[in-house]
Amino acid sequence: MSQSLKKTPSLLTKVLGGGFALLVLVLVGLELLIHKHVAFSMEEWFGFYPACGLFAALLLVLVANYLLRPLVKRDEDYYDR
Amino acid sequence: MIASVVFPPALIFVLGALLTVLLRGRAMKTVALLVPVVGFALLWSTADGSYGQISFIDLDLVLTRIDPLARIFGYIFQLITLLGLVFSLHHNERSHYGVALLYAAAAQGVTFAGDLFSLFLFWEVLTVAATFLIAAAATERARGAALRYLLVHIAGGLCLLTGILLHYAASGSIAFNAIDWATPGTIFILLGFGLNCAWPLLHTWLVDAYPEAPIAGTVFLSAFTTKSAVYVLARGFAGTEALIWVGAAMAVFPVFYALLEDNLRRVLSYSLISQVGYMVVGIGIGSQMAINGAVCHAYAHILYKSLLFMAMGAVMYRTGSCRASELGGLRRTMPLTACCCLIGSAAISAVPLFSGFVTKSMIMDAVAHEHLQIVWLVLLAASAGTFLYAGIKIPYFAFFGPDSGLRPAEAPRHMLLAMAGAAFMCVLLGVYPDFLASLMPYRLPLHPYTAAHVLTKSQLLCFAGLAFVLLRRWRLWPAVGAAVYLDVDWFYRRGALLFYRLADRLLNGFNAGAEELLLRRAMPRLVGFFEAPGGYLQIAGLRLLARFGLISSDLSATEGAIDCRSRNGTYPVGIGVLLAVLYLAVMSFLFFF
Repeated sequence: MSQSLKKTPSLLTKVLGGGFALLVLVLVGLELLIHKHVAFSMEEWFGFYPACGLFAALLLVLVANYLLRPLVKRDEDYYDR
Repeated sequence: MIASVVFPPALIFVLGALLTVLLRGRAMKTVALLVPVVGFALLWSTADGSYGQISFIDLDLVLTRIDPLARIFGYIFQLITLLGLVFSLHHNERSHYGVALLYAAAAQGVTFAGDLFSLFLFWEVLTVAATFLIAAAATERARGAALRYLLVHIAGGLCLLTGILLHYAASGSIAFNAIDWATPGTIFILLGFGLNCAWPLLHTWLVDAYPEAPIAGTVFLSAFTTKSAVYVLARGFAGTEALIWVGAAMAVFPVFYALLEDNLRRVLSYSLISQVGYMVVGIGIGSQMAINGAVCHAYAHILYKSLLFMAMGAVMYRTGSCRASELGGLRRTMPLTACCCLIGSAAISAVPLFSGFVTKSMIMDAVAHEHLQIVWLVLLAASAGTFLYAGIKIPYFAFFGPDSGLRPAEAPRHMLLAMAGAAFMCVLLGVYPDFLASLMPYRLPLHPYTAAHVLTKSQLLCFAGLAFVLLRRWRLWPAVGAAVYLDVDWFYRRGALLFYRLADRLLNGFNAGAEELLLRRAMPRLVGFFEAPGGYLQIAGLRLLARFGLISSDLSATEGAIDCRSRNGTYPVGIGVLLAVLYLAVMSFLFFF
């Protein structure tokens, strides 16, 4: 039982991981085929949205984790003391 | 039509609240569930217009004003009341249903109020009902949070009242329509609205209180207070440019906290503020397209946000916790809740075919249409962040991710039913946008599903997801664990403590100082003086004269004689007489000069 519990996620992870990688590639490839209606010139750059998604997410997490967290993190009973 | 003249929508809910308090058991629950249904039927059968106009102390009150803008909010508030009540059927106490319906009544009242006076009355009822809903959790933390909620909202309510009075004095009208915000009165009104809307710096009551409320109470809380504020802003302050920047700040800053927080209901509370930020941007732009976007986003938001709060509520109901650090792997035994949560996550992340995709893109298009490039980029980044904390973090840490070993039972049937209802609506709005288009305040074409739009949104989300995978692999994702992340409420939570200590030092210090001075120092001296007042006065007078060189004889001998005389009581004039003479001298001095 415990073994099957351990094995199943790893297979699932592989399938999901593979599917996700495929999706990422397909989405980037599709950009060559589909014409974007743009409001801003930067939207025309190839890979603008993928780059925006990736770097915005990285930036948000890194700022939260390395700038905000040291500033505002306190023990759980901070206000109870 | 006649029915609504007699029964404004809010009154149905107030009557329902009173009735449920009188009933118990199954009858109480049935009546409670019927209230939003009856309310919906009445609103649906009533044409647009103003009803229930009465004159009260020279004020022209309009109890029910129905137009497309009010109608869409009225419908969604009724729908969420029904879903929230179904979700809370495990409650058997009458107070829960009574307070929830009263809260819903206040939201209806605010939505359909045609004048600022009745708006203010319902506004205050919102605060009181919400306070009781929060405090119903009956924990020490919840009581504290409820008290802080009440204090903050009373301050906001007074701000609004000040604004209404100034506005009435300046304009002579109490009608609630579009308001020009350049006068002092309207700035107060705007601030009062802004507090309920959880503007940055005015937002901490929300993240303080909502995670402490009971699981069913949070469903109502997440819907009414902030969204009725969105409604009044859309009605009164559409096109106020400052709101664009307020909204953009509001959309992005909660993302940081939501990424750090361990308590998943607090993550949802921060996410609520971020989503309301999009609506505030839409209101600030004020074009028909933008107002449609803001209103439709509010409609979709109420559904997916309450769905997510319900899913986390169900998890908390079964496991007693909703902390990312204590959960994980619950999909094994709570698959239906996990499924509903994923639908809510997809909707809030604006995944194509879900409600958020349609409504968020309306706001983004309106921003692009005005060529507000910085705001557009900020909102785009916030969308990526939303996908990280709501699309991935919440379902991942609760239902997937590292297994916590917890094997709770699936959520109770009534909770599943409520979640299924909300999830159905999230999908319906996504796959059939014409439903929303028929409710929009302005009739404009709605075409969210262009190939380019679907592609670009999918790219954004997929690569944000890729960032999550990379951050987890590189171990850069914020570690989960119980902690307090300080927010602006530090200033009043710690400030109050500081004020208390300061007042303690200052007032008690004054008290102690006065005691030392009067009782310990002045009293003994006075007592000593009154042993021989005449003698002391004479000696003091003699010394004064001697200092100015008016007496040259031996001072100490004279002083000794005076002292001896007065102590032995052989002083020629009695003390009483001396004091009387002094008194008369002072009085005559005052009289003549």
